[in-house]
Amino acid sequence: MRRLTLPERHDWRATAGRMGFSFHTAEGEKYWDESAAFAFSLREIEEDIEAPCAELEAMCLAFVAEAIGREEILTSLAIPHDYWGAIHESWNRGDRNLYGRFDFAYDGNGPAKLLEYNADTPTALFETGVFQWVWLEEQIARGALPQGSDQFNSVHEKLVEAFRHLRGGRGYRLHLACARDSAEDLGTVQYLQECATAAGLATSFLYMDEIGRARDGTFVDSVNGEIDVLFKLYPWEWMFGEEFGQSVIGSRTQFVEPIWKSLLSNKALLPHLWRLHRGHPNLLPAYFAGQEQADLGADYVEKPVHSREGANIRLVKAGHVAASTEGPYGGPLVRQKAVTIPDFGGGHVVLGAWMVASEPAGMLVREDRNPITGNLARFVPHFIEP
Amino acid sequence: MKRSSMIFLGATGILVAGAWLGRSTGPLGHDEKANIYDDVNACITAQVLTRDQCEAEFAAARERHLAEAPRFSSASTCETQYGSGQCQPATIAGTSYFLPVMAGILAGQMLVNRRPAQALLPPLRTQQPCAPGFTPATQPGCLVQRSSSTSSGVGGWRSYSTSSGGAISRNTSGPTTVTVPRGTVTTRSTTGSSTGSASSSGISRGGFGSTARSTSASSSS
Repeated sequence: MRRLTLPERHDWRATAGRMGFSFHTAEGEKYWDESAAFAFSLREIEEDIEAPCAELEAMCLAFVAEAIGREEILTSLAIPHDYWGAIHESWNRGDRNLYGRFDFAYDGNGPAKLLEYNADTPTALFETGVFQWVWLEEQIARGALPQGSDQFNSVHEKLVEAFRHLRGGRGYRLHLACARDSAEDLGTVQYLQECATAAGLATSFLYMDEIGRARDGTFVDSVNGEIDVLFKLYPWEWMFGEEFGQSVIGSRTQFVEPIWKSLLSNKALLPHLWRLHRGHPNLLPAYFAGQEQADLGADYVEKPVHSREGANIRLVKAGHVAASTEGPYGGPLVRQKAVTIPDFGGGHVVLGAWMVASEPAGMLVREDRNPITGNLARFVPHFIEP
Repeated sequence: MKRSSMIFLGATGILVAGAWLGRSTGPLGHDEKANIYDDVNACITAQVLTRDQCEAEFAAARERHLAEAPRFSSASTCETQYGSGQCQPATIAGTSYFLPVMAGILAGQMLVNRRPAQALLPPLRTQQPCAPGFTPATQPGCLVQRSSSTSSGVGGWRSYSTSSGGAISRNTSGPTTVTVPRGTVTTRSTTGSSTGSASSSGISRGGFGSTARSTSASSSS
């Protein structure tokens, strides 16, 4: 793994505009950054990223199977009691999941260490699956990258395939929804809508607040048509607390991600994985606050079970807060042993590995000036050296 | 190879003038020709497809229609959207619903990459009516009441909607061919908010989305 500087494609902004990638610059800062690239060997990708992802996913699914029947685990995950039954049913029914993203600290030496699992509402999907892919194809064609360069990135193909099989191969009508006022969320949902359309599905988009509820609790769209399958880029833990949340229980609507994913999209997953697989090379020691063991050490990261985009995180070194981020999240805290976030000269590097329908599907690299990766991290494309 | 072998955004063509494609100026975003047939006989008469092809397209579209058309729990909620007499009962996977009738099919013309025809529905009552003196030719996506005359008196127009809520019209005096302009038929529901009918239909809205507003945090990660 190495970082190199590369000439930007002179026309990449025009290409981004044409493809609807409007959020390549966010809050005045560059988000898509192709002035550099990360090069990996095929061995690094296959042995250090892809294989561990498959293993971690299996560990996560085994954890869900255990947790759904254990009151103390569900409580530790801060899942409201009302939803336990619905989670149990969703898991036992085999509701399929679409996607998720593992975030790792990795520098090419030693195992990738899992920082967290964004299992419910991850973004950066279009940038990974399409824009990064186009970048590679064009840079090879223009001679900036050697012929035979590759990329860990079958995200797009796998998404289309996953949509095809979400209902066991039968056709269905898909609604997609997200919150208002986020270009990034809207872009992600619109991209998923393209994937679903490519899979032959009829689709419609609506905002979360446009979802209607009939007297019998049925969820309907803006023309009052029943919502059969809903992809929602909207966190389960938010839905739990909202007015329509309770109507999810016993609903005929199939949700994507399924409600059982709320057990994984949760920082409390980290101490549970460590409890179940202590010493696993891809895990960091993690505990609930107040239950620390010696292997946590004096340097650790403290995060609320439900924080997002690097909010409300404290980095503690030798008992003192060395860095922290603001944010709106509260609730139970977990502590994870601090790990060096590598810096190749362009900022702190976090590697995100995509799972699609529980299969490893691709990767992105983000760089951030801050050691706690936030929503201003830059996306730096990667390739596999021939 | 560890990457997708091909990415074809908007590969599904004419009906997918979605947001990505809608902003696109590339080859995938161009207008396409398609044919609208109200029934099998109209399809055969047009002589674009053979009799067998027409029958197969209609059979396939009817099946897709059952899977993809908006579903309603009562005839009245369906008719609120599609108009009186435009809905029919259907039993899908053991549950009874009302669906808008299939008003015709839209069949693409491109031989390369040709997809199965799509079922067309009656126009939505909430669809925007054409402004006086305008037709769908001059105001894409607007609704012309069935058989109303154009200002020039050349012929009538018939409007349809797609299962995604898009609008499409054809001139009934001309050939069955329509050009589907980019953005006319979108995957985005283009119908107006139906909150106006919410109280009468017993539908409440706004029960999701409040956390995003109150935290002003991103819902994604």
